Amino acid sequence: MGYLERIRRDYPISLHSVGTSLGSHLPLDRDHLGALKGLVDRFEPGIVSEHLSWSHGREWYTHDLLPLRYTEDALNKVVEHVDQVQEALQRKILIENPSTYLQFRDSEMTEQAFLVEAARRSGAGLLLDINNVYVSCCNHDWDIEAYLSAIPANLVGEIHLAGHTVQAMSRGTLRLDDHGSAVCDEVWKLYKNCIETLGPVPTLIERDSNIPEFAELLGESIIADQVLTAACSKYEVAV
Amino acid sequence: MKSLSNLQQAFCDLLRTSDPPPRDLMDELLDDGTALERFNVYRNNFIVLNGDALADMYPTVKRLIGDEAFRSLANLYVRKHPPATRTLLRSSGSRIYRVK
Repeated sequence: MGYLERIRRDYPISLHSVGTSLGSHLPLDRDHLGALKGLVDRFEPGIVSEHLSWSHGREWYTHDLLPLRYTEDALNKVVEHVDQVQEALQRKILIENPSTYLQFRDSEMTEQAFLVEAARRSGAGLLLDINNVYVSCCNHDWDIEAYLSAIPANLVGEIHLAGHTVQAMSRGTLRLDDHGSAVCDEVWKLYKNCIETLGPVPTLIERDSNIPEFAELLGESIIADQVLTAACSKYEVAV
Repeated sequence: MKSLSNLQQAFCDLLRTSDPPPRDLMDELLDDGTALERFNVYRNNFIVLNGDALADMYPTVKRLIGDEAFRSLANLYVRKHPPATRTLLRSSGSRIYRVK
């Protein structure tokens, strides 16, 4: 925490939450929300975000980000929980699109429609994880262009990039978000296209495991910087 | 179609087992012939990420019994005693102590 305070003195930071379980049918955990509020008050991050997922049952926690059935009742629950988080933190949050590996038969709308509607109804923004868009679209044979074009530019407050692995199934393959490999070429291409459309948006490259040499990490961040700098000159934003 | 609460509770409870999921859960999933493999990704994630957390918390035990034995024990342990707190770092300490 000491390091984080020193970093915060010199840089804006983005606080990325994984534990509020926005999509759970169960009520939000008030103690957890209080602890999150403590962090937000202490570090005053520029951005606070959380995932579109759920992570626990009645008696125990999975610590994973589990997929939602995209129905109206799930949407109401997510909006109610985002409202409560924003009320508790006294600020707007961003909701991140997940990587998913299965779909529910009775989903009533697309993931992108669900996300956009959740943001509109709650007043939240979106954290667009382009690797997750790519992973989920490949896994479910969704149209990537249709997904991305459904996301209004004014909702996107942050972008995430990451790597993934490809696993063979009995039929076809499944892409697994792993935060442990390099950003793939297809995701870089989508990122460049997105930034051309959206303008410069704060971007984070996620890497939690299998950390490479610093030069490799720096190399990826330089590519993202170049894309953002090009967009800044196009949009005449001071770098 | 299960209610939101029944669906999530069933999904969550079935992550803990390695038994074939019951028909009524599989009926909730879109199935192109790979639904079980897809569900098993979540089962595997649950075991691996919580097992990794145990490995980080108990490096000495892991060193003493070896990676493979630790992983087997961690799998059994995580299924029997799934995390009871929302914070991964505090997950399993007290129970491990009792096992000792």
